[in-house]
Amino acid sequence: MDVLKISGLSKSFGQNKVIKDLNLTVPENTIYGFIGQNGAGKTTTMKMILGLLAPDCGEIFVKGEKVSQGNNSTNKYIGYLPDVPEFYGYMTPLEYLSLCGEITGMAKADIKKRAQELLEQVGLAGSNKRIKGFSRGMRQRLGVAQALFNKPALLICDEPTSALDPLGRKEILDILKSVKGETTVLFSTHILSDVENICDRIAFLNDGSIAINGTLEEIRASRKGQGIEIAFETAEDTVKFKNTFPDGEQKGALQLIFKGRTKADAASFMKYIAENNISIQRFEILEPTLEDLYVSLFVEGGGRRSKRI
Amino acid sequence: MRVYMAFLKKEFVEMIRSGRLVTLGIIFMLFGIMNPAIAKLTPALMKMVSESMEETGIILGEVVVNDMTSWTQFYKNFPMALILFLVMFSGIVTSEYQKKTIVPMLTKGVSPVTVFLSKYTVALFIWTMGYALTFFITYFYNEYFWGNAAEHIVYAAVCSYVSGVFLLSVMMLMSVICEGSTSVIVATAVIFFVIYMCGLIPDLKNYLPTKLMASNELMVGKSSSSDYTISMVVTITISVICTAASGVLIKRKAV
Repeated sequence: MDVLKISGLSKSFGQNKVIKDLNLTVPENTIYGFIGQNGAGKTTTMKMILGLLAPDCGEIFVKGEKVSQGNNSTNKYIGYLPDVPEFYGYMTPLEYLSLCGEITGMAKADIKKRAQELLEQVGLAGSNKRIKGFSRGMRQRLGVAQALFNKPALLICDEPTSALDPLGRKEILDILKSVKGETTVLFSTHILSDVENICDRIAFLNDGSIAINGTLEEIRASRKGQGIEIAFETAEDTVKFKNTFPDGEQKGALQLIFKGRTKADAASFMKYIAENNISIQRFEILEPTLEDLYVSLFVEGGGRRSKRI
Repeated sequence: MRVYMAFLKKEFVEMIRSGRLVTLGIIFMLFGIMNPAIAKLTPALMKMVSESMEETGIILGEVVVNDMTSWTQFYKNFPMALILFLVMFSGIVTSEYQKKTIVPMLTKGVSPVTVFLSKYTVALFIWTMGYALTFFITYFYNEYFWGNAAEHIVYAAVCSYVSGVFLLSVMMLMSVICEGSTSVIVATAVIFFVIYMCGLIPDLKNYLPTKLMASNELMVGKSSSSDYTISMVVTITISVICTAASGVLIKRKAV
């Protein structure tokens, strides 16, 4: 079942058309990476999913229920983590989570149990000080806890790691990875390594619409291989191989890089190596990274292409 | 109702921990003490002034003070207490939207109308308690020093209390429309000024909320209680309309 379905969504601010006929479907129990440059419209889309902003046209369904601005009933299925979450600084984390429980109609005993369980999960169990004294990383972890409090079917995270140091980022990504299976995660970011780390499916948002989407593997497979890199044991073998396959670009005395060669070429290379008793240190098929894809979409291609995989 | 009660509790905790409840309590208490205190000290002050004035040839007669002197002071101080109260509550809605602390709440399915109503309830409750505190302190001191002989004391107090509720309702509506607390105060002041200017037109005077602010005239017999009925009905009606409009408009307030 699809947790989220967006069709024909558009939104303008004055003359500036931020979202243009956006269509997106997020299946259950996936971590969905929502990638785009700053100002691409990620936050605007998320605000419309949350009913905080009215679209100009188009429809959004969360678990089959239509979202409408001001009537936040579909938000009972959603947990939301903003990029920089803001809390009532005069409360302790336990008090804040208790408030979250009370407003979602949980029983008192369940609130206490769930709050302690989540504070443990995000590493804030022993923290009894008021939130105003929290570091950015601690706030982000509390943000995850409040977003997960009512066991949402859809967890929306708006660039949750962009303001954090590497350790803080890892902590948040580990938490998000750990909730997969319990909830579906829609995760917006422009940090591609985070996407490669945790996402199952991704969508590239560019110029207000989805430029490309699919699973990480599908997207990688759809791109041409970046090439093949071979590291030889001896310089003689390197020269011998280069004489047979002259398109190899020499890197140092022992390495050859064959740009643009695919997996099919790899088989003939391996066959030649085996037949001629050539010793190698390493044989690597170079996969296109998300960064290559990002550059080709947004820099080289101008980001205008739209492709469904 | 459950969400409303949870938010009400949150608002009270905020009032206590931010120190605003204590500050307002002290302000209302001071105003309550100040009214009879000024009345009581007036003869002594006048005596001091008259001694220095005698040297210039001006002779001041004996000043007689009674409960009415204290009640006059009560109505003179009322606008200042109301302004301080409104300023302290001017950011009650806008700060949540500006700081984005409201976002996690709204994204959990809480209706913005419920949030607004809980905030309005807290503000109204504190206004009621604060006003009652000032009134009763003044009343009991007056009773102790002179005895409360003035007429329509309670009705006059209710009139000015209702005018406070009216301005609170206007300010809450402005809190929904405007983005920052300064613009909320400015917009409320402009609306009050317009009503005040309209009140200068004799034909309109008895229909406007500003009439209720001059309710001390009741105590000296310059007007009768029925003179305030229309103004009271108009003021309560506008307050209800402002609150209903706030409930409608807050749904459209972008986060």
